[in-house]
Amino acid sequence: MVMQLPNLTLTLEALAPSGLVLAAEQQAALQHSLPVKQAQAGFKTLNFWGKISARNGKDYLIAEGSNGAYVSDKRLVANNKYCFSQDAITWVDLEAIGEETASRAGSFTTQLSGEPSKMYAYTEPGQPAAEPKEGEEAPPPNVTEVSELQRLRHTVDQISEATGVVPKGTQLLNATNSVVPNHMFSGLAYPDKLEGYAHAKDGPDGPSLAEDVRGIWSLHHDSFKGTTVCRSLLWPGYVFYYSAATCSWGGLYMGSGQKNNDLIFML
Amino acid sequence: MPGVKENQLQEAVAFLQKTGSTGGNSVYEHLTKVVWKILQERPADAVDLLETSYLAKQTNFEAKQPTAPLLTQEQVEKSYSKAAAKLFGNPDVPTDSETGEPVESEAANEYECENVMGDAAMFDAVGAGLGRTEMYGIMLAVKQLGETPALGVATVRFFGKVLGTHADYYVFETTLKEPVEEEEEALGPNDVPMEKGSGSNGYVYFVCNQLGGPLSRLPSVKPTHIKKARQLKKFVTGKLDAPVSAYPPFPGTEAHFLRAQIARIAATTVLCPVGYFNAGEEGALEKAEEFTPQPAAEMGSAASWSHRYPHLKKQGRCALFVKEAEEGAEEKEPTEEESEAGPEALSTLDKDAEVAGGEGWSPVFSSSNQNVKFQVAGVRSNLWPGALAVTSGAAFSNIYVGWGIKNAPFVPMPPPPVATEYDQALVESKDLPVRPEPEAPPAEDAEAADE
Repeated sequence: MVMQLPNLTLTLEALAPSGLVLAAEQQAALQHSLPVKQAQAGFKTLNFWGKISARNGKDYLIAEGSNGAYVSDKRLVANNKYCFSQDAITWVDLEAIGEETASRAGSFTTQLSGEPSKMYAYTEPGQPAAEPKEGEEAPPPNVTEVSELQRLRHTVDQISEATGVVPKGTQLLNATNSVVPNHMFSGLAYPDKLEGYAHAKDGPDGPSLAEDVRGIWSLHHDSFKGTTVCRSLLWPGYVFYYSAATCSWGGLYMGSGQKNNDLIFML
Repeated sequence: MPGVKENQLQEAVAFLQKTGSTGGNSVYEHLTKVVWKILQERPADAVDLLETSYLAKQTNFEAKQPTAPLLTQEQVEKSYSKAAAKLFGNPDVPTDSETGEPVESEAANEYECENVMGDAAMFDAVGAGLGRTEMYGIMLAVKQLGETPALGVATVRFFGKVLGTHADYYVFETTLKEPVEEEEEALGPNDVPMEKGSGSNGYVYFVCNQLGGPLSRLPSVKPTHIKKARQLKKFVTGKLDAPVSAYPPFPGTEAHFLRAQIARIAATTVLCPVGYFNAGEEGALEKAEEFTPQPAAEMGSAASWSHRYPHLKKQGRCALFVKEAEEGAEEKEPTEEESEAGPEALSTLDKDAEVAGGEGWSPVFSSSNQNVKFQVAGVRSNLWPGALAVTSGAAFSNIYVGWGIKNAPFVPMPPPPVATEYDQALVESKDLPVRPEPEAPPAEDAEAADE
């Protein structure tokens, strides 16, 4: 039977050896709170996406809601919605942010604080102000505020863009250009190669992981059991698994939400 | 059927046998299958089951399976599962092949260890560790390491798992019954000798890539390894003999690098609740006679935990080494490294330095509701992401699961300064090249002289 939806239990089981573990309370709570949120928000699917750790210990759990994706003009339009929760029970929508806010949010590299109401002051880069004349006050720097939740959404967007791995051939385009699961997917021919996997954001015919920058994926394949575990070195904490025996797959992110910009020195 | 001519019947059958344009199946074949299915299963209400026809078509489809090559016996023997399976169950008693009687084997080594599965439950509660299944394998690997007579360990503790790009390391922290015999170090005049059996080398570490796989003892750590490792930010590959390809060059293989990273992680992140130990003389820790566990709400605070292992100084040692002045020579001022005053033994975490503009440690609790009883509480390191200490009641435990990377801004070392140009005038050498001596014919007398 081909998998229709990511199975969180199987995924957690497969990813625990890579250090991706969900607290017992959270795992228990998710079973109830996610279906409730899904029904309230009217999502076709609502899947657990991962955990972004926060400085005060109240980590952000993220869920990804979707009402289906379609291809228009050779580009995938997914319109995924995200919700976050800090206790695995109360799920709050994470508003989408515009490009300008995203670039502001991207200028902060510290770990998130864990207080959703926190505001960060962002100084717009601009022309260095001319020396104020005597008697005049210096013009105040152009400061805008970026909220913690905007930063959180920016982090989630960045990680989804760079990861979100699916085995190739598990999704198809139907006659109305909607992305549908391939009910006849019968396993990958070469599960030990990066060529077998692609980013979900690129749609069914997107490039494989082998076309990413070289060295950002670390793929472990156990040919005896037919399981593959693929870890992102660019976003440490993202791990993806694929099992040929059960024809199941899944990926989660559990990390600090910080990109590994020093990767070039680390290999 | 009366009234139907033979040729009409044949025509009808031929039509039904015509292959359908989409499914690749004919009506005739399909009806045959429906009739066959009804006769096989003989349902009481076959006529009502209009879906029977549909079912026959539905089960007709067979997805093309990618053909998995059959595994050879050798592959099975070499597989990780085979090695891990050996950890379980009772070992086979070796028997004499001639008499068939059991042979006395070496008695299992006596050792002490922690309650790995008890700790695993605490890690699971706060969302850390490696999951219950893997922790069970680790518990058995600890047992295997402890019982092997050849290794002769006194205590074993599971330190954690260091993730690598090609394979991971399970790291076990042990003390041995017989101290490790160290080779004499070849030290230069300014080199700092390593600590033997204490400080940074207070424990001996064993690693394996797979549970049940071969265990390797990591070499003792030298101050120079620690100093060089501090200048690097690097993933481990999973092969102990791999070279550490980095700048500045690392004097050793990945085994030395891994050992240096473990020393750094252990010194900073192995913790114990305040009051569990008392600092004795010369930094030795003594278990406090009376220890009252704090409530869980308190144990999420940095002030409730203290560093268990001694501080690792800039010199690359825990205990400072000051070179003795030679006799007659003037006493030199100790260098900056030699006069570094570290924190006291068992200093609490709230005295730790800030990490990336925030607290060095973050609290973790097993529940978001404070009133839940029997909570597991602890702290996790922001300096070494992946390091964590938890406690519940009187039990406490530490673990590290991570990439072995410190959370600190990384500034790559600049390349060495360019060598200065030769600033003397270029003059042709007056010396003539040495004339090669003509090869002497093999001396025949030499042999005679030897006798």
